[in-house]
Amino acid sequence: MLRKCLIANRGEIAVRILRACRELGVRTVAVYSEVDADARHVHLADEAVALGGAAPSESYLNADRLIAAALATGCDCVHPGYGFLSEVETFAEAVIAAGLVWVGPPPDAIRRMGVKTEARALIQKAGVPLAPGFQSDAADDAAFLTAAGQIGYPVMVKAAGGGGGKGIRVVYDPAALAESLAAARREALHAFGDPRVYLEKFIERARHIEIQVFGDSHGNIVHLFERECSAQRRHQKVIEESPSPLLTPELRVDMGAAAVEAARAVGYVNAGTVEFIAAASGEYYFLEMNTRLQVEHPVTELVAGLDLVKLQFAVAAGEALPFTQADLMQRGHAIEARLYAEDPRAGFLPATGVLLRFLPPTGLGVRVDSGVESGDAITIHYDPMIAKIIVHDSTRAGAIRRLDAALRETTLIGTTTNLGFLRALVNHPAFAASEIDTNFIERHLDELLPSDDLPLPDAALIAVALSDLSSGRTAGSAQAANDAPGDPWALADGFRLGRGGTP
Amino acid sequence: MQKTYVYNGRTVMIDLAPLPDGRWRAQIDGREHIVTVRPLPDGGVTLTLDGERRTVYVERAGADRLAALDGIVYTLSPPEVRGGRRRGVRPGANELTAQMPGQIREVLVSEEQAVARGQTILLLEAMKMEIRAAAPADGVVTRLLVKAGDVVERGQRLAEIRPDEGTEDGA
Repeated sequence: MLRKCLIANRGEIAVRILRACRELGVRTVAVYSEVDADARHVHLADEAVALGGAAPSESYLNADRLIAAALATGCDCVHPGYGFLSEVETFAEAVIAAGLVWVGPPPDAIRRMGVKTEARALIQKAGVPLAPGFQSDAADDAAFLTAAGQIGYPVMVKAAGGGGGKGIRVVYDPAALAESLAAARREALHAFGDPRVYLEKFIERARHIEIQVFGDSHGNIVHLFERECSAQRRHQKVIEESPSPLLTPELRVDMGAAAVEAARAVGYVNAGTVEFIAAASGEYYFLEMNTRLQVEHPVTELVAGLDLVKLQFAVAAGEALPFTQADLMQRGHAIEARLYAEDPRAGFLPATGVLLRFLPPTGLGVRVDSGVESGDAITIHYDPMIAKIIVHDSTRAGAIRRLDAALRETTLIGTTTNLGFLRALVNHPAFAASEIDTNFIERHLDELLPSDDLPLPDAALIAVALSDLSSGRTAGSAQAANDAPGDPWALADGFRLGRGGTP
Repeated sequence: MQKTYVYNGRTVMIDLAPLPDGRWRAQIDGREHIVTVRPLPDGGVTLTLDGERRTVYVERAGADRLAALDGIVYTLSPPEVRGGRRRGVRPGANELTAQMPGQIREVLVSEEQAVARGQTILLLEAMKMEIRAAAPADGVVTRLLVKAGDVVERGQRLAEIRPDEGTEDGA
């Protein structure tokens, strides 16, 4: 069993991992950059180590400092969370070389799945469906043009060393291929230091279905069913759910088995996700494998009734999975919405600010994973996600209503958020009908942007005016300090509880 | 007592008066409500008006008042701000402002340099996202107000550019 863990991350995922450690009796060491000294993940940890400046390179991306902190505090394991160094195999290797347990997949599996062209070759050998494509390090543009013609337009030009949707170009016309190849190579070189690109058939009206897999060090690999993440904006997931209304029981068994084969092909251990693109016809193709815990893992936890983070620690400690595939089942329906500090009306550019008041929703079947609370700041340095709001109910329709109610109950003052956008998406008829494909948001953006001129409810105006009266300092009028009869919030007789009609 | 605010560019007025029974009378745009007010321990307030209960949270950001109700935040501003730049004022044609809060990653031009419309003046980075700030018109960079590494707010002025004569829109 593991005793003490360094959590090499921040924000909601660090908090999530800390809580799992507490339940397991594993002591925790948080790390923080100079702007995170008072962050929630630091407060919750048993010990905390300052890493350095706010820039990720000086803190959460600094492998040497992280390993030094783990050794100095007597940790026996490191959990990387997601993002930052979670899929950097050299960091995983360095952790292991320092005599620490890496709570994640083998470094070799991270490396082999990280190079997309290598992953495609591996997957093909394992018999997992691949979108028709073309890859060759030696081919010239003429060879790419011939290949694209054989695949059939539209085709995607993708970066071999890439991921996360970066550098992808869709080409509809042979005449545009050469230019797209050149641009994709430039972008790939800039973003990943690797100019190699490959072609893949572009599936129109595609759905994003991913399968959660889990392996142990005794050779067992199971899948924990699917998540559908088709509601995306520029390859960034917005809403995730499980089960996917698209999958028939047969397709689910099929894709689950394919995902397990993909994981087996790289000797996978611990939590991973195999992503597929599915066409409305039911054909599906391997997209990529994410060799880490995903942001949207709570959706699977609620439906499968498992704690994936605790399972990660058990498997990392060498234990066998406590179940077989036959023991697993899906129960009810779960949906996650990602609450971001961003301005949907300004092209979704990130926003910052101090959370003057953040009251997350609560109640039956409502789970909120967040790393911030009232008074905390959303800064320019890190991801703008404020919270994940996850609901669970027995049916999909019930889960949709529960999510809408939870979003409505969310109070967040102090930064611009996508809350109104999320509610519009959840209430869109296409969402209820499960007709959302990966380009739906872009095509229907007009219907999803909240109005920039909502009528002002009288209750909001009354509350503001009352609060100005209570403070004596007012935005409303210069003489208000004189004409306020006192402090209605706490002092004025006319305002006290228990007077008048208020019991 | 009367209060005046600006909401989405429009002036809104409210007249509030305490009643002997502890309730309040609110008059807004010809509508009258008799309001029961219950402050909550967490700083919010539950108002009962016309038989319906609504819980509102109000916070201040400078002179602005932010009221949250049912997942939506309404911003009320004072009727006028003396000696300050009003929010939402459009930048002049000769200045470049930050489209988002962030850190200046790189400044690609120098003062007195001639630039073409659309040319990248600097790169702004926030939360793993990078955006280009481009020259709004052909012209000359007269002032650079930031340098690499500076942290800027949304709407902050980054550079001043003197447009070439005759190249502005409509000229």
